[in-house]
Amino acid sequence: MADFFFRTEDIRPDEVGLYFVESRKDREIINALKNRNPTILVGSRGVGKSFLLRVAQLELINQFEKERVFPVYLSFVRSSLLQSNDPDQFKHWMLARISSSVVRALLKAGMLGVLTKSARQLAGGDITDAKPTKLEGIAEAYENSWRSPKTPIDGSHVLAVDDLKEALEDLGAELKISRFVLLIDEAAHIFVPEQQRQFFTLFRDLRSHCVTCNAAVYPGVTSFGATFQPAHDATMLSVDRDVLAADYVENMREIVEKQADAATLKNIAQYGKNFAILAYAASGNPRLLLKTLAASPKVNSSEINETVREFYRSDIWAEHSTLADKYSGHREVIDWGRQFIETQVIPDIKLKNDQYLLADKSTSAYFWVHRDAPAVIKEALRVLSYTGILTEQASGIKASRGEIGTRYVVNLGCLFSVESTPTASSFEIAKGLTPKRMTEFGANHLAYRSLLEHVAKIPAQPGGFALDEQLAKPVSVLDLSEWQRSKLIELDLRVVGDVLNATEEKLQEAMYIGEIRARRMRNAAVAAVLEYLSG
Amino acid sequence: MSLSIHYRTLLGLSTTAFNDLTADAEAMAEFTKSHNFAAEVESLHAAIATRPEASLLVLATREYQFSLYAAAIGSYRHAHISLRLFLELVLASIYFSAYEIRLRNWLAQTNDSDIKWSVLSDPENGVFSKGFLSAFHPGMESSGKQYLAIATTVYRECSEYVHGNMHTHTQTDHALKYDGETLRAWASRVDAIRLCVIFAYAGRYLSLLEAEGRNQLEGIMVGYLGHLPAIRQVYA
Repeated sequence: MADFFFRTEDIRPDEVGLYFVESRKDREIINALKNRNPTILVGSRGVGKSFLLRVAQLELINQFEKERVFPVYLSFVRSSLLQSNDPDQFKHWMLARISSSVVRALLKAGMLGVLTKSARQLAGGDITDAKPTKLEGIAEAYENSWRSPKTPIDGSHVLAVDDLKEALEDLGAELKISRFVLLIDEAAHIFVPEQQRQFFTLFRDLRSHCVTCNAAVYPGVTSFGATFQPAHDATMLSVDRDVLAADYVENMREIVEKQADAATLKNIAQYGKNFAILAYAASGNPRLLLKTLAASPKVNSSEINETVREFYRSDIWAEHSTLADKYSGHREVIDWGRQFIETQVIPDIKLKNDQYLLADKSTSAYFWVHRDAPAVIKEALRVLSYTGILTEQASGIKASRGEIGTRYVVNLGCLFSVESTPTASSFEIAKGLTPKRMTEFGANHLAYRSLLEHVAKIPAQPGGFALDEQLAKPVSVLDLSEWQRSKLIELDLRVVGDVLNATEEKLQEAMYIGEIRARRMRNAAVAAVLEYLSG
Repeated sequence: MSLSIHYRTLLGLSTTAFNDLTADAEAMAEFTKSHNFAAEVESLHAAIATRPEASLLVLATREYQFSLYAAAIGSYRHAHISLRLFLELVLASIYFSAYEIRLRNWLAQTNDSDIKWSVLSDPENGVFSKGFLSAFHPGMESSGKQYLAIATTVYRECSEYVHGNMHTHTQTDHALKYDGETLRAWASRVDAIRLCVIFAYAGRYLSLLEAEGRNQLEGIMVGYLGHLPAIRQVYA
């Protein structure tokens, strides 16, 4: 059994082409990354965001002589380590990372030999290929700041955004580069909304005729800041593969063919249906497919049944549960998410599918949540999307009685894992799927109660300084309309904590505020508290 | 040591290696399965024996026998080298069947008539390509890509033994000696090659065979390719 590459980082950047299986959607994404308009890729872990960034980078390098468009790949994955007392640390760190990555990429491509003036400016001093530049030193100092948060870091060599743009422009002119394409991976930390806001602000500010910013983010990233507007400032593209597409299984098999040994490929050919079950179970995520295939190389029924049960009942949840340890402030939200999926969503869908299959009808893996569901519930669903347990399939979907909400699809492997014999029924479930069948969860579903009760208790718990700080912030920080804000003042709810403590009934006392608006206002307050918990 | 003693020693080592193989029941079962494939190739040959390219299949069968023999005596590199040549010769016979002029040039050893793997495995025009399969057995063309991937992978794995990639230099290279792990890896490559050889053969000949020939191959075809609707249809 060959060792599979589960992560793009394990593949040499110039070899990604060997493992690339191009689908029509992949081509659209890569073309979008290469063209002038900024693009943001959205997808959960393991769906192939990094891979597509690397393929775009490789293609741009190969076309460089003709097109003169220079790609620079960089990752912001270490941003979570930033703990210095510099209030602008994240911005400084991002600018330092971008500047030094550009210089490194140019050096590596042999574009910089003799140091140009603008290159020296970018690097914050002299550069050679061997030693870290001053900027890299600054970035590293920020990354190490979690060890000694109080040590001051001198960020004076970091260029301001406008200077960076100018330096890139000058560098472009000197090196005959018509445009730089920044491919920023792991761009915004899912649990740090402030970082998300700063990133998107920089993303927008960096836009110029000679720079195109592209980024890969997780589905939970939703804080875009004051200036960045998702629809206007970038093309948002989802990397999710459509399991309903006619060529879905074939496409997933071709990904495997790039890595598997002949014995495994022979087994896949002979047990095509079993492989299809693994492919569907992975729900479009190549990493999940490769992991499960590595666990069942014979592809026979007993192996597939065991793998589907083991992996999708426990292994896939391990990462989700680790998040609860890492971000203990989110523990309740994360744990509730798992409980909701395992005890509400999956049993409900299974029950229905059992009946549908008996009656030879279409099947389901979908559920719908009302747009006015509480913010913490949405937060829990976002975390589930981040780990790939769920995929947000479409928003603005009409359900019963014309109510509007978001449709999610549950990871099919999780659904298959509760079948008594996954190989007996999973294929039929997958082939019969239709988004039209979805279980609905309204704005006030009973299943939300346990989490809402917990969130209600948050202010009563011994809070740290930062929590108090959040709760003491004026309601003006909340993302509400002037009219809504004035209603809060009318009710004497002046700070975030007041709103959080207020019941929806209390909010409804105000003139002209109905149940739904009351819920929205409360959601905004809860979001502020969650932001604290994220830090 | 005289030459004759040296070679008798090697023969002795070969005997020991084969005895060790027969003592490993599980590996012996794998080996026997591989051995039996030779009989299946002979059946494939019998059904097309009168065709001009059938002589290549005879050469292929002989090469496969060498592969079996090398595997039996613990000479695994040579087992892989012959296995790769077997795959090339079978696919070449199928390819040449569609281009008789190239077959005649090859038989006559005309310049530039060598068998090239890149030609046999060409995704657009090779024996697994859509065009080739749809011309001779419509219905199989949609699976060609998958079997080409198997053929390409197993060819590459055998080539690693031809080129002497580092991982192929096992302890057994230094002395003829039985090695269960390498034997099983070789047998699993035989499995993969069997599958793509039978697929390519079915794609080229099955729909053209007379009923008698087709029926004689039913066990092989349904046994290995029964999961393909196009094959089931032939025997429905």
